Amino acid sequence: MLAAVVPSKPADVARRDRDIGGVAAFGLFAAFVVAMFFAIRRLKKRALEDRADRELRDEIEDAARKGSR
Amino acid sequence: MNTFAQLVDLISPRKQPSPMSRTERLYVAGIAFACALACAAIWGVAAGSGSGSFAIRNLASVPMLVVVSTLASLPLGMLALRLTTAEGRPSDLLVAHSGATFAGALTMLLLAPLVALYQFSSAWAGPVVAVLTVILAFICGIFVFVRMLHKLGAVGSAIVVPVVLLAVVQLASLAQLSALAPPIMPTRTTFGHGIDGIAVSTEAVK
Repeated sequence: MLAAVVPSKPADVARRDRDIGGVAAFGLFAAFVVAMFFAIRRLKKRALEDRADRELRDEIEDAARKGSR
Repeated sequence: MNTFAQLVDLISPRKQPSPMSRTERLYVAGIAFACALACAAIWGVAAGSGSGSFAIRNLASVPMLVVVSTLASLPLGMLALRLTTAEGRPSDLLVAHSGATFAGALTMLLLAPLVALYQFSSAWAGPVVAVLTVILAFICGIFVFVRMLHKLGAVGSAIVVPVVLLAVVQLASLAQLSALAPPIMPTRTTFGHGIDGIAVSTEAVK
């Protein structure tokens, strides 16, 4: 019913809109991938620091436990 | 840090050797999602292998479908988790979802040779096999998602609403996005026509 009321776009306009949409979607996707790359790189640095802290804390706790015996 | 081993440990039923900090979990989630996108891209190449241009276009369009459907569903699932339960953390849902996406995409990657073989050799069986691998990967993903949430400490009945909501919204958005996006295979399947195609085929079955 809607199709009878709303006139459809001419084929060339529809094609141009689709092309623009496709390029915009690909651009957004590329931006997302780049942002994800930098976010992962930053998280890796902080995750390594966290891991080193945890290992050091575990070592200190182990040493303290051995010392108390 | 062997992140990949950590990631495989996280999606397996094995217990984690040591609890991870929030940053470590987010890092593993990021790696899992990046690996999932890479796996999906390779599956896309296999699904479009019948025709050269489809294979190249799928390198971007299949990961794009995964990203957009995730962006459409994950925030809603996180909000549902926050509203329905006091125990679960939204970061747990993020990690579990990334791990599940990775597990599903890995399933697709391992089935990609079969998809490529059928796409090359049969015009009607190729798309059917491709859709079946996606359904299998989705089921595998849901299974891993629930198990990971249990492993990360989310309690049983409280996660039902967010998990069901997330899975339904992701499936619904994926089905409709595949109709909007450029075709992945040379022939469009019922799912490739979105909700209209599914409704028509349901009426035909009736």
